[in-house]
Amino acid sequence: MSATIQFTDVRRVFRGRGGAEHAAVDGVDLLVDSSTRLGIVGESGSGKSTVVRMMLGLDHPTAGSVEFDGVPLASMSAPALRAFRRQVQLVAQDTSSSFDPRRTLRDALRKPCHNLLELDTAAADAAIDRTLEALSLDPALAARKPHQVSGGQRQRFSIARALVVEPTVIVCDEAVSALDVSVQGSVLNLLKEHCENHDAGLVFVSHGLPATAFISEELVVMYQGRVVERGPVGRVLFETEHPYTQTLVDAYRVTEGVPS
Amino acid sequence: MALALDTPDRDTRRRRTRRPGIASVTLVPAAILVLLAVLGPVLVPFSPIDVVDRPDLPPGGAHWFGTDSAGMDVFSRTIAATRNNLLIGLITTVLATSLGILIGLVVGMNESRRGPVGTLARGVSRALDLVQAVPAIIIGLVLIAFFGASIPSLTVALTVCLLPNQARLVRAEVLRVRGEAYLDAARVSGDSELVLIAKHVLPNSSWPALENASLVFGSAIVLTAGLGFLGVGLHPPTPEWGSMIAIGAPGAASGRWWSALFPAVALALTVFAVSGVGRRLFGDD
Amino acid sequence: MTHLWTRNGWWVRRLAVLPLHLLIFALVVFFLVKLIPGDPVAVLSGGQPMTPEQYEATRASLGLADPIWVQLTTFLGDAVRLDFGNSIISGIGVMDEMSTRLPETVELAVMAMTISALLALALGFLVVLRPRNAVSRVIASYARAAGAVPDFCLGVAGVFVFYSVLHWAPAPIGRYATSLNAPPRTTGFPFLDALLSSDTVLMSSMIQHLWLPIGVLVVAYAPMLLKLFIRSLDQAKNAQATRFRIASGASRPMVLLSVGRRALPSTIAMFGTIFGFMVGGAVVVEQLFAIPGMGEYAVQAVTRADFVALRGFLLVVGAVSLIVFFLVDVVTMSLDPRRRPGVATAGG
Repeated sequence: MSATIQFTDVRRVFRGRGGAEHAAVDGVDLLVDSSTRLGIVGESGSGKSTVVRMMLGLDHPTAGSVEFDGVPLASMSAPALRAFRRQVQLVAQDTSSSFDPRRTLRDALRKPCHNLLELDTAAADAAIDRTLEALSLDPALAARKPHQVSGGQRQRFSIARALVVEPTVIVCDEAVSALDVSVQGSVLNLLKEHCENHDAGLVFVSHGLPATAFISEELVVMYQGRVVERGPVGRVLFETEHPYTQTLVDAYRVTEGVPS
Repeated sequence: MALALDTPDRDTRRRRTRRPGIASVTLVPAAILVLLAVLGPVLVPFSPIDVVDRPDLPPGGAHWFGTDSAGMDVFSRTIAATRNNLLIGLITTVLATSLGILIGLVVGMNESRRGPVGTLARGVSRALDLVQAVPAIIIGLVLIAFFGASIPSLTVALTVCLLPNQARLVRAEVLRVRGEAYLDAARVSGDSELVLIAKHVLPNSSWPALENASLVFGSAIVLTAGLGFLGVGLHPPTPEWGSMIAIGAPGAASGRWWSALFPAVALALTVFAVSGVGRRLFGDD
Repeated sequence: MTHLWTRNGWWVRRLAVLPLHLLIFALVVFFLVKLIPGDPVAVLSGGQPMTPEQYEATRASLGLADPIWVQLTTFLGDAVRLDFGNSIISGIGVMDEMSTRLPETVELAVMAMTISALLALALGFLVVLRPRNAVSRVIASYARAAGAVPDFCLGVAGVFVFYSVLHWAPAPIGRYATSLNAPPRTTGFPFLDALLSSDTVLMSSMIQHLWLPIGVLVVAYAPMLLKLFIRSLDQAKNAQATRFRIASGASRPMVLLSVGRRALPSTIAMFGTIFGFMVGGAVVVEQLFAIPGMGEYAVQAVTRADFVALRGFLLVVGAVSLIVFFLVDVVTMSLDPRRRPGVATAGG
């Protein structure tokens, strides 16, 4: 199954309160498909969250285009959009607000099953339980509200919500940044294994180079709304071209003890 | 006039979980009120709308609360007025709150849009602010001039007075909820915008208006009585606390305290009872 | 030049929208009053039979025969020149009446508000600093009960207790003894005029007549202000910045000063609304104490269906409130720059 998201010369401008324009994303080209694990690194304000929102059709470019299998996301019909979401799913950033506080976790996980897979409740629950077990989560926890489970558990639920429809591309926006370092590792391994076992692609967006470098094959570095560096992880780490990347890599070497 | 002025500070008063098992004690005064409203006209010893004895009799054996300057029984009228005042308060609260939530929701969701819809939403939002510029009692006064004084017209007038604040409260909350990550998550899970608003935005942003509903109820009752007091509310001899207080006011100035005191006490007790219910339901201070 | 603009742009911009708000308000008032059912001509004739010619003549004299947009532009044009027309009942110019009545009502509201503010300030600090004190507890629960007892109930009770029983207050009629003459008009504010003319007899009569109505307003509305002030003082007391100040060894008065300064903007922000309540409350209190003012005028206009008077009254009250809102905004924004428009509060 083909599943390709193509960014062509994408620019996204926000208007400030005083009327001043600010390009959050400027001239970005990207190609995402199910064959690679792509990492996008950048500091906060570098435009990576805007890229994620556009990649999922939650926001649309001011200029340029974001296309899924050749069709612009901005002009997709509702059924086509559902077919797109069936293949491209999100593991969201903020663990404490990525679930509606008034609803149970199972409610949240049933949504994609109903909307995207058109399963009935029994079939949805079976699929949910299978996914939760694969992520070593107790299905009984799904009866709880989001604030009644730990941050690590909630993030696994967030992953489960994405995986339950068996997407071909998983987009992770700061998926581990809010977690303890001890939990980060297990979540990263889990994601990596899933992608390897199911031939799924991954887009891993983070401000932290270590986690991104660990999980990705390809790396894109964003700085002030532009892509300043891209290539295989090894090349970006050892043959750095842009000064901003150099500072990232230097910091990475100090923390990870990588020889220069 | 005492009013529905509540401006929850967004940072400290995030959604509160409701306490289970509402303490039934605080509901007793409210229950008695409802009972009086329903049964009142049957229970009263005298006709509440007719002259039944000599005017200005002090409280005593036959007339527990005395008679007013026209000779109507104050006890019967105070009890019989419960139905009118409560009815107006209740319908106003339901209308102002539900319409307020609806308007706040629509305005909040569309305010930052471009095009005519966005402009309209911003216009409504500004208009809601502007209505606050005029005291509620004056808006009520004008609207009564509009529709004449009757229970339906009072209800409409008071709804118009009290709706803007409810809408503003909800709008502010919608603006906060709109940025929550779970909305994007629900979109990615395939929810349409309509489902999103109905299932996520509405339940998560209507609580300030619901919390404020008991204050709206109190305000509606006080405003009804206030308009009655100014002489533009329900016309005597229809039993209504405000007009009873107005009729009793000159008497109070010359020492005949009873015909103004009892409806005033009934009014204050009602406002207290209702705010008690509100506090129990929402755990507000 | 740019520097001057970036420093002052916020209040200039706020000032610039004020006329726009006034215009919107005037439009709303015009159409609202237009929609009031009932025929002004019939009101004017008092139910007397009229010939069609007389009817048309009256209609034309009220300007009602013109197309609606002509009526609207005339109304707006006159309003800009502060001409709100003449009452259709009394024939007296609305602006003439307003220029005497508005200062009278505003003076009442401002006196009550000043006392309420001072009271709220003092009691607020007491409650927050000595929360366990018995007096504090009583005050705090009084503040929580804000608005439960409406102003007119308090007023009736006040008249009964202080006039009828204790004889501490004179009969609730007017703002000074009927035997006295009005002060020479300099500012239009009666008490201020009496003060300026050093008429001690008149002043003491005014104080005797006004302490009760003002007291009623204060007792009815101070708790709202107090409730908000206590809430924001509590927040300011627990704020990080306050802890930092205490930790860095600032003296107690300095800490209190900083807590007060931090709590002030949100309380002042409420002043606009409270002022609105005070004007509304003054309307009620004026009725009760038979004090001539805006309240009497409004009730008369409504009961007599005098559309010109009603329109003028609403416009004046709305304009005064909008100007007060503007001043309150400017004061809070200068105290707390984060409230200025165009200032981003959320971090990145």
